[in-house]
Amino acid sequence: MEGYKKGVKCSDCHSFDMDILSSRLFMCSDCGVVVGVENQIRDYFLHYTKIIPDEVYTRRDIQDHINIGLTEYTLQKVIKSNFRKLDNRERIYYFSP
Amino acid sequence: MREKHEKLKVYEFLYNRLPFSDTEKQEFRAMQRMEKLEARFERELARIKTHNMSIHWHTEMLIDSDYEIVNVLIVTDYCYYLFVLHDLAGEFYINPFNILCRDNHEAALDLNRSERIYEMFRSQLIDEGKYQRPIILKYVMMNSGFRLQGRRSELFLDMKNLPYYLKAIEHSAVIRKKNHHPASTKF
Ligand SMILES: [Zn+2]
Repeated sequence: MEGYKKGVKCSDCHSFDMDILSSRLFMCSDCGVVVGVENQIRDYFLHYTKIIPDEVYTRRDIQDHINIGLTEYTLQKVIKSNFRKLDNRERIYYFSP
Repeated sequence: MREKHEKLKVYEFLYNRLPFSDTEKQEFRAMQRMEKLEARFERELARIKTHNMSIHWHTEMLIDSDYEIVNVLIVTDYCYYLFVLHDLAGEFYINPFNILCRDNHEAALDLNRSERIYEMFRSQLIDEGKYQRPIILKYVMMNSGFRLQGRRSELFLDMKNLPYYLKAIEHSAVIRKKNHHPASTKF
């Protein structure tokens, strides 16, 4: 999708200005809504894969899509619970919540 | 349980991510408004017992090349209730051609369309056996700022009366079930 802007955004006001409140929470710095990190990221990929199905991601792609600097620990957790490794391909994942 | 409209979910996801055309923006806003109205109606519905009813959300139909939405269809063993939700606010009157107009005479809603919606459902909702359930269509004016001057219309249901109306549906669904043989719900 040309011109498509990646990143987790606020579901209330559509702002991309999401701050990391803790390892489990994001807060929208525009409207103050607080959401769970994992839910928000899962939602993002659920919607994205509806529009672009069958996409495979490197770890870097996943980070780019989320577009918020998660800690290594949180990123690992997100990948583990939402993605599966493609057969025989060490670093290629597909979304499978 | 009501499901948010799929297209609205896509719009919400893509908003700010991709440029929207004016038409898309307009459609997105209209859908957001509908979603709010339906969510409000759902909250009212949650206050009554609905186990004797089946509830269908958000049906769109093409009538004379324009889409009409019936937001809620409640089916009981004895009646079909169609609800179209509106958020119009201000002073209105119904002109001799059955058009709802604002007090500055600007047309807001062609009430003749309600006949077409009714006919559409009349031709679809055919009951088996002798008993044909009546169909009742209501335009629920969800905005408390809606005022109707002059000629009234049976079609309108004020938001403030909605809880009583739903309560009455609940009541009739229960009582009739006790005393009559229910008609088969083929829907
Ligand atoms: Zn926000």
